[in-house]
Amino acid sequence: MDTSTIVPADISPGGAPAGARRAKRSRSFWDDAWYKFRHNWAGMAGLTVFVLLCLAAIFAKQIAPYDYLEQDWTAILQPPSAAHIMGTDDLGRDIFSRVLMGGRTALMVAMAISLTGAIVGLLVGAFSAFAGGKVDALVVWVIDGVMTFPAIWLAAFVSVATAPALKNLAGSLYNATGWEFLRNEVMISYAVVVFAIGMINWTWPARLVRSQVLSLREREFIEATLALGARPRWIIMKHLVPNVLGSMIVLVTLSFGNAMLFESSLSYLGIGIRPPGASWGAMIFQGMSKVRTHPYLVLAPGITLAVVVLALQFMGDALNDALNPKSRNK
Amino acid sequence: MIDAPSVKGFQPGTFAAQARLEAPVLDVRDLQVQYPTREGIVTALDGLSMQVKAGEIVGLVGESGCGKSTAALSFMRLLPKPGRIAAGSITLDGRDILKLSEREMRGLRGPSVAMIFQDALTALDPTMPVGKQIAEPLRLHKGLSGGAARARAIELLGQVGIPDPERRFGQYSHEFSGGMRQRAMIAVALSCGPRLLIADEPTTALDVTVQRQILRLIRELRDTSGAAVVYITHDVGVVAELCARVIVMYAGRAVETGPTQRVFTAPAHPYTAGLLGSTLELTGDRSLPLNAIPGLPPELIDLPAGCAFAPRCPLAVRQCQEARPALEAAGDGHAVDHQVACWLREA
Amino acid sequence: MLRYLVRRILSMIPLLIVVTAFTFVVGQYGAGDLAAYLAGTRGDSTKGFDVELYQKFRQELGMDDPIYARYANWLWNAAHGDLGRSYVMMGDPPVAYLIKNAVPQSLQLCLAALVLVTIIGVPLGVVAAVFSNGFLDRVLVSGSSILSSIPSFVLAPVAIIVVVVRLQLLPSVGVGWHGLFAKETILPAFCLAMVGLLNVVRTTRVSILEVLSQEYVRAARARGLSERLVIARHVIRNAMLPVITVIGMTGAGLLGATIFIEQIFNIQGFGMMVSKGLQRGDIMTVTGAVLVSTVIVMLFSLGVDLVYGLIDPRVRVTK
Repeated sequence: MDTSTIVPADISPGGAPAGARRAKRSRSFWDDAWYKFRHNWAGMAGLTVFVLLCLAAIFAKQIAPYDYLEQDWTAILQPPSAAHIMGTDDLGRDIFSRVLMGGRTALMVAMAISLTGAIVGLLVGAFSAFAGGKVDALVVWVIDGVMTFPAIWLAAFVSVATAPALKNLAGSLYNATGWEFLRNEVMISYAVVVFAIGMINWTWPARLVRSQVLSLREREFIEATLALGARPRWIIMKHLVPNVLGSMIVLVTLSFGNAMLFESSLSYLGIGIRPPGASWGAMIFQGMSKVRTHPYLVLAPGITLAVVVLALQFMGDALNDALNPKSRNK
Repeated sequence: MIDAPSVKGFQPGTFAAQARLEAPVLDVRDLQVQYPTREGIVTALDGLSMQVKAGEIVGLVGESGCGKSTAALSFMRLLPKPGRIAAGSITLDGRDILKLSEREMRGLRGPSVAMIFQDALTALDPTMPVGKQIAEPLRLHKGLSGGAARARAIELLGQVGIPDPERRFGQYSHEFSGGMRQRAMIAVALSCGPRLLIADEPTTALDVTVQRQILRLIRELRDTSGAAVVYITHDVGVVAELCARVIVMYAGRAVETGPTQRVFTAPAHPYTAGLLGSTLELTGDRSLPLNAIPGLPPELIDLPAGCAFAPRCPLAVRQCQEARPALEAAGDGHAVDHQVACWLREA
Repeated sequence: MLRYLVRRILSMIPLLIVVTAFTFVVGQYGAGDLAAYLAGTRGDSTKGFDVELYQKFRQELGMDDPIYARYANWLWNAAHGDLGRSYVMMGDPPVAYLIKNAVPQSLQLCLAALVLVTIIGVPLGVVAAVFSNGFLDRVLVSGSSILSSIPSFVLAPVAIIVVVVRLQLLPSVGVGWHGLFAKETILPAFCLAMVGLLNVVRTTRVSILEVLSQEYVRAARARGLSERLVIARHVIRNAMLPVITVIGMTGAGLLGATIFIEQIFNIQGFGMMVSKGLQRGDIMTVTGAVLVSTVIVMLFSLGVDLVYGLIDPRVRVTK
């Protein structure tokens, strides 16, 4: 069956009737992707939520009506009211202010994780594909191994097992440098969480980059350009990056949400961000014992977390539709 | 031999068969098929008319994208979405199928009209034994029991020339060779003894010797069952060998139709001539005005006002750019059957 | 088939060794000095740090041996069903005993959730595919996105508040495990199932769409099959292969999520054991749990392969 009979191959969805076609064709890939993204309500809603979260996190100190650590013993376990729009916890701390600071934590951690994950994944994936042979097989094996294991357990285990070692490391660095932040328990717990989640997060980009490099290597024009004396770096910049970039943006977006979820999960389990650092997961855990009588203790951070994770999920899906038109419906 | 109940068609010598011979099994009038896309409406088929009588093999020939497969699918009312039949009529065995409900149409698919697909590897379900796929329509349309359908399916496998049909019945398509698979595919299409058989490039995916065998099989099956056959291909050689009549298509329209021998020996349309020239170069003794067609077929979305072939036609004159020629009697008018859509037909 | 099975199981062993070696080594170094912990907590605290006791514990735990010897020793014992002892818990219970008591509940819970996610997710995916890009499709995919995006430690308490406290549809969960078919199992199994819902719905949808565009579907229609028969006989079967893979992978994900669900619903299962072990720094328990969960996950993937073989005749022949 000849599909070109049915719809000529160069008729792509989207856009105006025949007259506007010339104009549309000259539009670049990115214009087209943005056009598609803009018309995806779920993606735009996700982007809006995400931007609001970023703004809230950046200006947390300015927005928050109270200090997130300030304890008010006259206002303990207050339900939401005008003074405390999300209520107060069992130490009389303003939950809204704490949710804001928790957002800051989640964003910082997620940013660190998804960026390092993308970079490490890119390096490992490209290295593995270019090295080939046994090295490649080993890398694939490791990636598959990491992926078979329940991710949250791996992160939790790494977090618990490496926390003392990282603390020691920070201690000796402090002795050498005298930088005060190295003694900050909260800072160290940030590092532990980033490290633990980072252990899992590099596998997706690594896999993507590897498969892309391999499929590029198979194509003849690459060999032709190599034969013409092109340097590998030129090939990477000219051919690999444009091919991978779209999928990479999608992956980073999705892994961003994932990292936020994992940070909260670890903190919920009591092995993530240490108090007094604010984390949604830790807040949910603290509220859990009173959830039947004071549900807002769990609901305020819980719904915020769910909404943000969902926003990033929708954003990732919309980006995928816009940037990888081939995978539409797939 | 095919046993009596399955033969719905041709039975030589009877009056009824004689009458049927006269009335075409498939009668298509001014068929127009459109695909609305966001870029505009694609007219994949524009004003196609054709008749196929029982026992006749008609070839639909043209380059890919000319609308021949769209035609085949519309005869089965299986156009992929968002395709729709915008105008015209399709009469199958005296019934206008465009007026039937989807349920009634389903009842015709199999017993009245069946299709042989291009690539049996993709057209057979990989997870169902081939025999079961042959038995499936038998149980559905003929109400055969499991055992009877199985027996009949094995018989059909034997008829299409598959050795050891008992064993083959339970095998999966990946266990068949290419030629055997295509034979099995034909057995599926034949299972309910269809009046009209549509073969959509059934030999394109096969090598030359197997191709011959399949063509011979199709001809034999036509002889025994008396079915009308629409044979779709881009290969003029196959048409010359198999089809009594041919319809040459270009950009969704029939540009030349007539008895194969007449059309191929005295092509009246420059496109037909080009098609023949570009495939029969090797014979050498032909002197045709063209031996290859420059350029590509037009996009079906904004066709030129004139003849669709004009931009590629070496003989095009001003008139060709301005108005679209209709299908009319070709050349000297001796062959009433031979029609062409070209302004140069009298020249 | 048997040969394939044996080969498949043997191929799992290297991964198992590497995973346990990793956990063992990282655990032993990362968690601090167990002998020091024991000497500090079990010795006479009035005498200060008891060096003799410390040395005794070190010897008892084999901590003076090189790390590879300790790992080999642990692995050898593990192969014989001895995973060491949990020194953090009262009475130093053997880890194998703890795991044996915890795993059945969790496996049953995961199984219940897996069945739920399959019987909910696959039909939703099929419906979404059949109405692809329509309103229903969008509603179903967004809906399962929402349900899967809510972390289980948020979904579960919300479900308890709504279903148990407010609506009183289901009995309060109380403490412990009530059996696979108990009413009390519905809510935790449901919350667990939601973790994998999106994956199952989405994979089913994509897979069905892919199959619907195949030529053999058109061929089945050309034989006069109704749309329902086409989907039931030809589409679902062909589309199920990737779905089964995803369900198997979801199994691993669900096992991971028991860490939250069991704690919230007070089920003394594997997840509860691991979360407590992690919080207490009980490295022997966690290392043992890693071994067992890796085996479970591998069995899941083995199961997927076997089902694959049953469904796809091509796999049956080649392997």
